[in-house]
Amino acid sequence: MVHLVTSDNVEFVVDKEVVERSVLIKNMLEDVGETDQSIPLANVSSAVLRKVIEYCEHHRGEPLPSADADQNQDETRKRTTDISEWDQKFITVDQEMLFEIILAANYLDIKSLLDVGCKTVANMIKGKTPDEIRRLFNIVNDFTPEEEAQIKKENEWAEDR
Amino acid sequence: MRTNSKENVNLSPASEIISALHIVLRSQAVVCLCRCTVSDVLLTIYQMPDVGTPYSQTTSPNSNHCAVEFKDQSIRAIITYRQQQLDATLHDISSLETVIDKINNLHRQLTEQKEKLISSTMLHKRLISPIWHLPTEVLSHIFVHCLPEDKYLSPASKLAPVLLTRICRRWREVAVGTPSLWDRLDVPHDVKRQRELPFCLDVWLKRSRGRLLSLALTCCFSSTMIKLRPLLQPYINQISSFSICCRVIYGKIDPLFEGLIALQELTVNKPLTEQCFSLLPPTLRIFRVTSPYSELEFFPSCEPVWANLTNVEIPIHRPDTILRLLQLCPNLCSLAIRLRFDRTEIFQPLVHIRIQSLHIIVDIIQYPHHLLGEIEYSTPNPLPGLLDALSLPSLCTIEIHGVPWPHQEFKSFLTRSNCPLETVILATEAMMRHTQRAKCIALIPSLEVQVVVSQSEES
Repeated sequence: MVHLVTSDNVEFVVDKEVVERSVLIKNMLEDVGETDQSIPLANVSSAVLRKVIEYCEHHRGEPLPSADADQNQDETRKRTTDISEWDQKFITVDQEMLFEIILAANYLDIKSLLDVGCKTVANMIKGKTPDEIRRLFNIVNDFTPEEEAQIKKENEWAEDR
Repeated sequence: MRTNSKENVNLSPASEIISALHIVLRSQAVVCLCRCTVSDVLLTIYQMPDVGTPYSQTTSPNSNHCAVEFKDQSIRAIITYRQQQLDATLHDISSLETVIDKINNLHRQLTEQKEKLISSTMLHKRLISPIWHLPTEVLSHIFVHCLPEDKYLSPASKLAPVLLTRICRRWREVAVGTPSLWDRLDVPHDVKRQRELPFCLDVWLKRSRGRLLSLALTCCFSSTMIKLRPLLQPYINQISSFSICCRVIYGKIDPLFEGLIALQELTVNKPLTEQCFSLLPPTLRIFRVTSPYSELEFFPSCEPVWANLTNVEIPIHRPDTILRLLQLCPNLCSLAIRLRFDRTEIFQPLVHIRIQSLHIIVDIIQYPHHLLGEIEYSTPNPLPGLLDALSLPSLCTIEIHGVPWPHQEFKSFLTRSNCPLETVILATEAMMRHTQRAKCIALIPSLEVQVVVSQSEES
């Protein structure tokens, strides 16, 4: 069993096979060997780690994606809608939690979870207008008039397509 | 930072100055100016002095000497007074200009302050957006998933990647700085926008930053494509996938194929000339001819290109072409052929040790007299003869469209090939009967048989 301590100082005791879905923790464990010492996760809160562990538990035993998967363009561009039913249900959380999960997956190096999160955000973006996207994510249009003009010029050939 | 105690903070330091200005102006006002703005006050408080005199209307000289002398003294007094008034007015104007300068200066400062406050508000609004916290590489990863699944991307402004450059500065920076968003393009060829095309290509393809490119060109006339070729020159050695679709080809099109040193995949809708083939690089692995009605007129002698191909998809109209193709392409792993024969042929036996996937569509040509009567095939079905001739010991998948299932020949083919066949995909018109399926599965217990809608029905 592996002891993990979150940023809000909550300790989790997790099965090694489950926690090793995180490449970061797997490498740490390989470096330090068997230990009873807790691993501090300064960038992950207990609420988020609970969700991450739930994901890793569900996907326990599945093969980890290969390190060179990113090299393969087709692999990177696999269908965005290609999220399993369980994963879709798992990732149906509020926006703040969604981004926290993505950040945690990135920090802990859990590629499949990072993919699920990124695909979910991508699906939220698709089919929306710039204004709708800004409203959805509380993004401010901070382009200067000059930048707006440049973008307009760039996109003249792209309009009405 | 002073944000927590509103009562102790003067949110608008200039308001004191403006209030003082109001008071000064009001004290000079002749009329009641309660609740007026500074500009109202300025417009109403000043009372223009009356500069009229008894002499203002005089138009002709007076000849009475005494009266003239008295009048001159009186007029001189008026002039002296007017001079004093003018000096005072000039002084007032000068003072007022100083005040105006100061007010303008204050206005400028307030305008600057307004811009800073708007910008700061935006900054802080942005900071509470959860998506703001994502590192660039994660945002970039999300953007890659935003791309449409098309092989070649349309440059539409409402679709990624162009859409992503229109949201905010950060998204624009990340999108423009992610080369994998810009490495496939369906080159827009719109006659109306022809002048904008060089700019489009430059903006889009520059952002690919040297990555291998997938480009599609679709034009009505080959001459238009040839005109586009110079625009692609700076990126020509990046093109790894090239799709060319041209309705009318006349004249030479070989310049299109010059310098494609990284080409791995080529899709054309018409057969290529021998000259074009000779320009294709040995890196080519995938070759497709999409039009079902066009056959390669020849199999050119530039064998190195064919020898390296792993995937070929072409229409074949002469039975002997299959044999030549398989002999020319010893490294072929996947072969998709569309057979359109008008005569019977006895195929020579052939073994190909690499082919893993074989996809055959048979187009049956029906002549007019057949359309009137009972439906029957006007040309012989070439599939049984083909299966009888072939031995494919690496075959894993076979797909058949357009003709009835040739069960006897297939069984012999399986026995002869001794291949690790996993999947048989049949179009609806090639349905396999239950007994036939059982016999096939008896030969290969793990065999999966799938039935799909025939391509002719789909079209």
